[in-house]
Amino acid sequence: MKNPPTALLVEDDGAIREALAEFLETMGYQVNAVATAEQGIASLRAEGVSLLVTDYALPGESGSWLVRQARAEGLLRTTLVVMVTALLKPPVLADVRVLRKPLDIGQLREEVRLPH
Amino acid sequence: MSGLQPPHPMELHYQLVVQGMEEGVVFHDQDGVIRATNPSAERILRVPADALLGRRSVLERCEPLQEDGSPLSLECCPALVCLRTGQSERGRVIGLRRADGELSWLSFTSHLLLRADGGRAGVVTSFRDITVLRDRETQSKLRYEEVSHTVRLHDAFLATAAHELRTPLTALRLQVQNLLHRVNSGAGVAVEVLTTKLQAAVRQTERLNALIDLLLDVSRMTVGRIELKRTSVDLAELARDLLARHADELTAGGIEVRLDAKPVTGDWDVARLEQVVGNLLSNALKYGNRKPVHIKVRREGASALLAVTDTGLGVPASDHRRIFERFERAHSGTQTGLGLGLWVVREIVAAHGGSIELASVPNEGSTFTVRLPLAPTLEAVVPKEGP
Repeated sequence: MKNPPTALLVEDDGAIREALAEFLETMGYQVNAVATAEQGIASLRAEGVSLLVTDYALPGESGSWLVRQARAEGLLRTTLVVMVTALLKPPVLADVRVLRKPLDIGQLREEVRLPH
Repeated sequence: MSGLQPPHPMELHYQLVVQGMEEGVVFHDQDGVIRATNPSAERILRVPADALLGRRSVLERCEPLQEDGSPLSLECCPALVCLRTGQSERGRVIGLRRADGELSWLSFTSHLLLRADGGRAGVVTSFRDITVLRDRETQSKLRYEEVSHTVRLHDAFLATAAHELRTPLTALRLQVQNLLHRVNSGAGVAVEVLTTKLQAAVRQTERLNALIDLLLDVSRMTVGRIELKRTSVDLAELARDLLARHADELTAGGIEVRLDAKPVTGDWDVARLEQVVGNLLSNALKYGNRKPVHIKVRREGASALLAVTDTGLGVPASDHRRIFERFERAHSGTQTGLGLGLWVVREIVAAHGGSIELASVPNEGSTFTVRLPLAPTLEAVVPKEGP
């Protein structure tokens, strides 16, 4: 049997992290969830993923930093990147889908739907 | 008929008008020499008429300034300029530094007077003191800048408040939508799982409620004094209780908090002091570089001392005042939070008649030290006079 696709989730709020991880699992992903950008980059260096979902505002380095750093190291070549944020004016990054909090799960489902 | 002719009635009327004017009036002859003044000129310039007559400028006995504060040469005074150019000078503002150092601002207007044959008879100059007007203008400009700053802070606060409210709202929405998905998928949900999920959802509503309470509390603190419900409180016990209640979160966060507290009892508001300890602790955890945080409680004469120390980012000296203001934070980055913690602490400590100080070295850490009088001081009982 083929291994399930993997997702890395970076979110500092425990309750959101837990609920988002649960949602991504129902979408068929095997989820690794961490709380900081620093933990996120360490995880990506150890193992690539099909999907990266990261919050923008994080303690320490931001979600944007994580994406730029991971791209610079060539860690996101085959990864779909989704950024979630509660900011009114979210940052703009090339090839990154930005979703505003509070998240709409229908919209998120469209973004992270697996190809059949 | 011999002797002096009585003045013509019209001339007498003119004299009365000039004598009675609120504005100072001086007359320069065609050679630029002052030949006549009125009583208001003496009053405004604080110089007797004798000292003005025969001079070239009313400004000779003081240090005249241009509107921007730079020195003004006497040849550039409005009457002499008007005489030279033939053009009227209207509303020229000139500063007068008097012998005693006081600075007044006057507004001058000079017009050329012509004789019947078209030749120059001289210049008449009127002037008034606009110092009070100028001060008022300066003050309203300052007030405007102050209000603009507050409006900008409020905008930033609203954005931050929206951001903070969205966090528990997002968690709640995801939890409920996940549950809905489970129910709709027809797979069935065990009662234990359902209970856990719903409890988690209730916790998010509590977070939302606590945030709204904080926002309302801050808004109340902004408009009025904090009403304290004083009872006998042991600060050491209060700190210990607070840590015990949050033990789970602290363990999960993985940062050690060391409490070194000796009993010290005073007349304080328990709930407000919990906010003080809680906010200082939460800051230390946030900016403490994940290293241990120390809380010290001691008695110091007629006061209690509470010190919260971290070994984290620290605060540059230039920011020590700013971070106690509303909606400000020490480090701009992407740190979350309302930026109200230290402001709330300062207000509560002040309401108790106490003080707070910060000792900090960037990249070495910070110590916030609160001193609270054990009993209400006169200052804390009697409200200060408002502005």
